[in-house]
Amino acid sequence: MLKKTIAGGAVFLAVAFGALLAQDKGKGGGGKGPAGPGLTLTSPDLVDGGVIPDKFTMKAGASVVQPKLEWTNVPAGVASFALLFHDPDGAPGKKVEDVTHWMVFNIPADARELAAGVSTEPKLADGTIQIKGTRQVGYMGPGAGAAGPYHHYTFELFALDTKLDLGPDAARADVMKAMDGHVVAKGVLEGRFHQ
Amino acid sequence: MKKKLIASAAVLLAVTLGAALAQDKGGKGGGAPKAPPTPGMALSSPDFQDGGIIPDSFTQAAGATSPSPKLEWTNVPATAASFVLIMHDPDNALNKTPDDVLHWMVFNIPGTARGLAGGQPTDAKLPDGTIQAKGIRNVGYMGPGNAAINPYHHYTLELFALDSMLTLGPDATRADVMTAMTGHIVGKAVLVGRFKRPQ
Repeated sequence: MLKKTIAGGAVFLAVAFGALLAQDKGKGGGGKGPAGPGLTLTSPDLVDGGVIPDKFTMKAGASVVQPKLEWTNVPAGVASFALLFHDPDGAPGKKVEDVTHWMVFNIPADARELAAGVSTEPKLADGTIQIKGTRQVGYMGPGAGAAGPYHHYTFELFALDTKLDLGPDAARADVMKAMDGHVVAKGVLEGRFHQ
Repeated sequence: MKKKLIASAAVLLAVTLGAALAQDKGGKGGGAPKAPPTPGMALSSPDFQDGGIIPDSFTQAAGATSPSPKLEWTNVPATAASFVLIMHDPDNALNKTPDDVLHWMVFNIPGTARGLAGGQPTDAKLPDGTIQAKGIRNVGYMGPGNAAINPYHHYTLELFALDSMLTLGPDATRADVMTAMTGHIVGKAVLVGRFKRPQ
């Protein structure tokens, strides 16, 4: 009995220590991330860190489409997803908030992808809501000028433990505020582009 | 005389139209109305490729106090009085907030600077007036530390050119710096390097 207790204690200790180590080595060295692989956002249409093909950019003109997005390693307890697509290379109006190319929230918890294509509807059939970005509702393709350096178009997927009580008239700042305290995981995909 | 006037008007029209087009196709943020003139400020490093993998020597794989990579910037706006550099890892949600992990924050970099040497000191105040605030863990550079089990994280270096210096000390938080910069950002440039630890 005593032997079993000691063995049990040792196992517990080992597991606890292992978890601690995993956390320390884990996400960003910040020690706050979950152990195990984090939420992973990918696209069959673009290479992470690579250049975004023209058909998904303003170079395609009116026929621009959004790339297909897929995600895996979704943690338990997710009630919805939000997606922000932004260009950090600009400071419109000399302000800190950069250019919002696309923002979507209340994506259903069982979703594991956003299809390619394009929709400019503020409310989709599955309950997803699209707000107005810097220019329009729905996806706005990258458009950085040829003269400048590559811009870093960043897709950020937030897994939330709640749905957001906001409508299509919400601003990006409203969505960020509403997510506060509810982000259980994040995944990022980054593509570069200039014309 | 009249011929000259017409020619001048034509030139003016062409220049104006050209400028309008350049802004529309242009630059920063794809047709956002407040776009500064192109080309925008550019941030690069001889130590890693934009969008590529950050070598282990600049990460926590080389220990807790790895050196910072060398950084260089060009196309600086004429009105730049100081620079702010923020390095963060957007692949994390800190304590369930939308805030991500702050790896390095430096401000009041002199307006004449065109880079940061590799292996920056970890002092809060540097001789040239530059101030380093505390990131999530320490003052000065904290290298990428993403675990091998994860997807690549996207370590994002954002350089802000400001038309002023910031009246903040080394105890300033990221939120303080963001607030103080508002209305003063005359240029911005970004460099992204990806990393996860070797197995």
